Amino acid sequence: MPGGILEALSGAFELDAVLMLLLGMLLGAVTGFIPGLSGVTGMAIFLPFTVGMDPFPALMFFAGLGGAPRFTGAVTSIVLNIPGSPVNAATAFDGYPMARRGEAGRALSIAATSSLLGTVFGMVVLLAAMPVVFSLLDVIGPAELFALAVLALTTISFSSTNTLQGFVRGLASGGLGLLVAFIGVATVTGRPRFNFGSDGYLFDGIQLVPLFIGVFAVAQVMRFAIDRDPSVAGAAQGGGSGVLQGVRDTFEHWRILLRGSTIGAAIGAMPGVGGTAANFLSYSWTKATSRDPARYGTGIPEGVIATEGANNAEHSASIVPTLSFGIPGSAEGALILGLLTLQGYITGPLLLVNNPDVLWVLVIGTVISVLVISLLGLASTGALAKVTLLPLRYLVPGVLVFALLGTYVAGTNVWDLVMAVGIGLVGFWFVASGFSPASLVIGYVLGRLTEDSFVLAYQSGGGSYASLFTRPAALVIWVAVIALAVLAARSAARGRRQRRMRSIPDSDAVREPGADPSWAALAFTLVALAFTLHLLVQAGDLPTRVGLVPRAIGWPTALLLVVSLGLELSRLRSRGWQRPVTSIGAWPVFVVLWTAAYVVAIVFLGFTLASVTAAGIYVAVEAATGDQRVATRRLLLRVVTTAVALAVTLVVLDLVSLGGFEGLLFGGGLPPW
Amino acid sequence: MRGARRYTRGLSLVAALALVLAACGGTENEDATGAEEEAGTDDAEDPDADDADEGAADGDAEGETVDAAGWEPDGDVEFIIPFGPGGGFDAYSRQVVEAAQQFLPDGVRIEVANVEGAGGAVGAQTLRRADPDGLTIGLVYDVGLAVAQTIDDAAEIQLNEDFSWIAGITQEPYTLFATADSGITSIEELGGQELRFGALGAASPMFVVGVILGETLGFDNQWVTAYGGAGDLLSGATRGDIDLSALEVSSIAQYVEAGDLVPLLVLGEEPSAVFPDVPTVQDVDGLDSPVLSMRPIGAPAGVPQEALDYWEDIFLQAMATEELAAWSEESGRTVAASDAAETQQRVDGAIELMAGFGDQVREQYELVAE
Repeated sequence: MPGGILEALSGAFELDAVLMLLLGMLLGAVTGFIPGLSGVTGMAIFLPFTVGMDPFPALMFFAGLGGAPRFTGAVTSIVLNIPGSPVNAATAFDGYPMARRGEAGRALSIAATSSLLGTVFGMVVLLAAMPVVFSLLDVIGPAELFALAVLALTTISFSSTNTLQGFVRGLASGGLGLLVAFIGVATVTGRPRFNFGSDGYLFDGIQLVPLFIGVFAVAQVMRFAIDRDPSVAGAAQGGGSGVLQGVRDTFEHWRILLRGSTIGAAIGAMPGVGGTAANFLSYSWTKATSRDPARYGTGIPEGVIATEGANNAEHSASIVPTLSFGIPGSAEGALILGLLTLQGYITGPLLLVNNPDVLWVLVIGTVISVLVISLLGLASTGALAKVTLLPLRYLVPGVLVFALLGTYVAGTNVWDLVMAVGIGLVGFWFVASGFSPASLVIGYVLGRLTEDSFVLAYQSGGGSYASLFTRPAALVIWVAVIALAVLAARSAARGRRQRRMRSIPDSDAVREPGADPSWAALAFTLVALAFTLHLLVQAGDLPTRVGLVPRAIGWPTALLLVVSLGLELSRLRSRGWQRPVTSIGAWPVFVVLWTAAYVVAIVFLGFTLASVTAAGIYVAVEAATGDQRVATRRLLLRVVTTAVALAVTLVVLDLVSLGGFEGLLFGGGLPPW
Repeated sequence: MRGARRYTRGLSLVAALALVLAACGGTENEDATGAEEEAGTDDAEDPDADDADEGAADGDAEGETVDAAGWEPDGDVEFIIPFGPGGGFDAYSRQVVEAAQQFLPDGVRIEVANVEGAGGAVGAQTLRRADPDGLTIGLVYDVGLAVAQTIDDAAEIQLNEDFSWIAGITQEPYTLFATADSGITSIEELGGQELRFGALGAASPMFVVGVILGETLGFDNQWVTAYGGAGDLLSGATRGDIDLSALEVSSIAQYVEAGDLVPLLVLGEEPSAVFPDVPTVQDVDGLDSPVLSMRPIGAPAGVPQEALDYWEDIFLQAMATEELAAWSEESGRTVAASDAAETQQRVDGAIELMAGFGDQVREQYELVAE
């Protein structure tokens, strides 16, 4: 364990350092609440402001920026089914069903408690086990990283449902996610592929934030708009209660927390795998070893504990390899190293030998910020849970504006907004057809790791794939892959048996209320198949090293889609070829057109004006056509207050953003494709 | 592309908080300056900056610092960094720009914008297409773009046609290194061997360096190119997944000190201050030119000469400040300023060297993909 803890302690508690920590926490908490923005984005945005700060306050500022979103990122997962960032995606599996049952308070309280304990656990384990981590890094090479990626991808089969069709669609979703990740530059050569004629925007492929915002936020907002439910919690009342119950739940299931945190810490110690994998692995492992797997996904505390414990432990643990080797294990790690460089530290393997206090300041700052945020979270669950009682239709403009604002901030490219809304409209169809957005995103997140480690193992193994299966550490991980697959099969069988016995609803039905999508699903499956075949045809023309992995993923995905198609056809036949529902209704059509028009308006009118106009139109149309028609005068009042409130918010945001506000206020058209 | 500036800078999430932050940052700044003052450093104090301002405004009265025939920026200036926040390019740019602010006229600020993507090409495109009014300047990934135009004859960006050079920030030579596991300790041992050479893809500077050195030193490359970033490459190197690769001196110094890597050849003309005993291009027959990372500041072609001269002057002054020297000293990131003419000459040299090995580079490139 490195020294320097005393210097760190005295430095970390000086007034300016504490103030910067608080400021970082405040900004971090807000970034966490906005879908698509995470600690990483916060750090990237505010890194420039640290030029000229002293090192300790700057580090404390970053600790707050990274620490605070850990809990707040889970909040939207639970109350809105829109994860704050991919590491919170699996939290929604059980957190959102809890919220729909009116247990948002309890779920939030579990998330806060698990975040805190997971963070502390990750810190303690890593600091205690630093020597082991050092030797681990020598063992984990491309072969092991590939096996780990496959292990994490195996979890896709768990996050999908227990029906055969759900299972097939879950795997196909993961395959599609991998394929989307292959769009853009092929690492092995550094030249683009599958880029749809783009040499600008799509050169580097589809970015995480627009994809993520599309399939989660925009698609979910569409559903809010179209669903007939009055609010997330629907008829269930009470939302905010159950705080103490949540804390008790977490301690009661301490084994699950411990296992989740251990998985998280282990993954955090390995560069390049990341919190999304930890989150899913922990969830599926917990589900697989449960005596009652069918309950997962229906809204049980265990699901939230497993995921939040894991992603927080992963977060904490990843600081150590980043600082010890100067090798960033994640985007967040890269930004911490960037901060240190700006501060004049030499990053690399000697950083902690020369400046051990750096590690301690980050540890102290992170623990304090997570502690404070979790306690604040516990205290404010009542208020946060109220969101689940808000009328869904009125959440639509607000959530959409903030999700797109987040996308804009993160990517600085108007194409990202077009992409997010485009993916969102397709994503709504995708979700309504019973495909899994969570599996799509984990496939996407692991796509490059899978391909690059596979190719690297071949290249550094002297042009042979043997090392993938002959290295002892890789073998150990392969055993885990097989174990997880066997457990998956067993728990699926057990789950089906139990569901039949006790008539537990299929978790699919809980997650997708009222979905009977046969014809739409059939059409979507065909579209997905066309996309897959399009990439396969292109991959056929690529040189071996560039096209091999896309082909290896593309063919099975196409096969799964064909199987899914067959299952859907036989289901339709068994129901006597029910005709597609003809009366879609005017409202869904309006919502889709409105969303598309909104993004076009952003391009030409600028974000602020477009958002204000779109929100005003939405409120007016909703109020004029809704169940309770509103008198013209009140309608006008409503539209004007909405528009003014939004305009003031956005203009103030922009005015004070120090860079002038011409860009947000005026649209500039699209940058080069 | 005026807007790109505020994309990055701007749009802070919580407006009021950003203000508080700025205020705090300001306070910190003053503290830092105060500390420097105590240490006897007053080079970066306001009076000097005021002098420069007046000099620029009057045009000739005290024009020994700024004599750019009257041109000076009449509005905010956008400085494009072609990579994201947190990397070496970002750190260098921000430090140099920060040091340059004090020499600008009152009310004029340089706003930094990270325009990342496509290995620096998106930033270069943005700079290239900006109005040539002298109000958009930026860092150019010189070596990377030289590689791109070597591999692809029809490359859209042509370094010397599309940009005018203002000044270079570094003259950091790429360094050929061996991993400790390879057992290689000198370039004499390389001849006739088949060695695993690590690179960030095949359109990267180290790949071209590998091709050139393979030709001149007589070894065969077995390419290991699927590394996504320098961090991945370095962890692969310390683990022994590769035998050789090449990176800038500052990126490998600590790994050499820690015993993980062995520097074999510095691709500069003079011995490196960090690795004084390691041979340079002068010691190898057939290497006519160094391979340097200049991190040049450029402007789109067509900017009036007066504006170029103005910026050259500003940045050369900025790079001579003690605050920059102090940062460079602490962070181990060397600043070695070069003027516009020298930058031009160096960039030409690199393009020429690579073009000389163009056929081999393209041939090996195809090999990697197969």
